[in-house]
Amino acid sequence: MKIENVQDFIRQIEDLPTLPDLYFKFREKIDDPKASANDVAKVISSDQAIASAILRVANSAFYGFMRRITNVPHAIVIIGFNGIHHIVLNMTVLNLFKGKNNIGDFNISKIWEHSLATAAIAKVIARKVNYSNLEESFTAGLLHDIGKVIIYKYLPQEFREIIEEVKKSDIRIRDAEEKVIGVDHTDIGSCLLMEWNFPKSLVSAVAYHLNPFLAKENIQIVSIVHLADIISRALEIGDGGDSKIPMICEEAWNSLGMLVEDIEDIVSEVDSELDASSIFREFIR
Amino acid sequence: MIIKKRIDDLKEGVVLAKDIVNENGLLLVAKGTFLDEKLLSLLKDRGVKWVYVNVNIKELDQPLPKELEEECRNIEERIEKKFKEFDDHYVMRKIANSAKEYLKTRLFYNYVDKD
Repeated sequence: MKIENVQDFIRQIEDLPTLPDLYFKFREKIDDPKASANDVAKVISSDQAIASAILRVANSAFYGFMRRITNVPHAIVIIGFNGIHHIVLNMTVLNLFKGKNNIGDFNISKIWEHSLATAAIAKVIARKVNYSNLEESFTAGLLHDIGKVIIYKYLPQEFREIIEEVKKSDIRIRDAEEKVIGVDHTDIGSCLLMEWNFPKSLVSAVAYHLNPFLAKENIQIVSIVHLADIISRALEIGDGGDSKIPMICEEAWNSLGMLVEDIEDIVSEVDSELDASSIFREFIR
Repeated sequence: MIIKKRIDDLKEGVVLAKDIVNENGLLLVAKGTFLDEKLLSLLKDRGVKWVYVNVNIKELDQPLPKELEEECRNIEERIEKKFKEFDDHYVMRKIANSAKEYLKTRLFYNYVDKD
C-alpha cells in the first residue's frame, strides 16, 4: 500500500490511540498558575502506575540512599511541573503502544530501546549545550521514531516488507519505507504528534531529525535529536531498524556550538543517564 | 565512562563522578571529590550503597582478560566498517573512537561484575 496523504492515513486509522482524559486533566492543572503541587498530586494519584513512577524518579535523584520520598506532592516539588509533565507524557505514549508483538524475528521493543537510548543521550547533549528544556529533549528523543511504531502496528505487512527490503538491498530503513509505502517514519510520526496537538518543538524534532537542514524553526532541539540518534546507533543500543549510521549534518553540528572533544564526555555519561530513566524501560518490554 | 559501583567494592583513591545530594537537594559530596578511606566509611555509615565513578578501558587496574581480546577486536572491526563511508570526517571519527571505548569498557565491566 502506498500512502498518498499522511494526514488522511493517520485520521483513517480506526483504533488510533487517543490521549487519556487523565492527561488533559493533568495539563489543565499544571497550566493553571494558581495550582499547587497538592492539586497536581490529586490528579496524578488517581493513576497508581504514574504516581509510583513519579516517586521512583524523585528517589532516583538521590542515588545510593534508601527510598526517602514517599508522598507524591513532595516528589512533584522536587521534580518540578515541567519534569512531571514530560514523565506523564512519556508514560502515556508508551502505555498507548504497549504490548509485545513480533513481526517475523523483529521485536518492536528494539526500536523503543533505541529510542530510550536516544532520549537519554539527547538529555546529556542538551545539558552540555545549555538547552533550555532538558526534559523536552528527552521526550523528543523518545518519540523520534514513533512513526516506525505506527507502521509496525497499523501496517504490519508493509513493516515486514520494509525490514526485508533493508536486509535484501542493504539500505537505510527510511529509504525502504519510501520504497514500500511512499513516505517515511518522520512524515508519519510528525503528523501523529500534530494530530495530538503536541508542542511544535517535538513535532519539528520528529519531522527533521534525519534532515536537520530542512528545519526552519526549533533548530537546536532538532540538532540535539539528530546527534543523539547518531551516537545511539554508534553505541549499538537497541535497533533502529537498520545498521547504518547517519552522517552528521554540518548545519546541525554548527548550531550546537560544541567542541568535538565534548563527544567523549557525552558518551561517558550515557549509561548513568540511562540508569536514571530506567522507569521507562518497564514499559517497553 | 561513568558507571555505578558498589561502595563496598571501592578502594581508596577513586574520584566521584556525580554529586551526592540528600533528599532536600542539598549537596553532600561534589563530583570530582577524591574518596579517601575516611570519606568512604562516612558514606557507608550514612547508608550510601553505591556511587558513580569514572572508568576507562585505557586505564584498567588489571590486564584485559584473554577471553575478551577477541571480542575487543570484533568491536574495533565492526565500528570501523560502519564508519568507513565517512572518510574520517572529524566529528564522525570522534564518535567512532568514543563508541569503541564505550563498547570495550562496557564489555570489560560486564565481565568483571559478573563474578
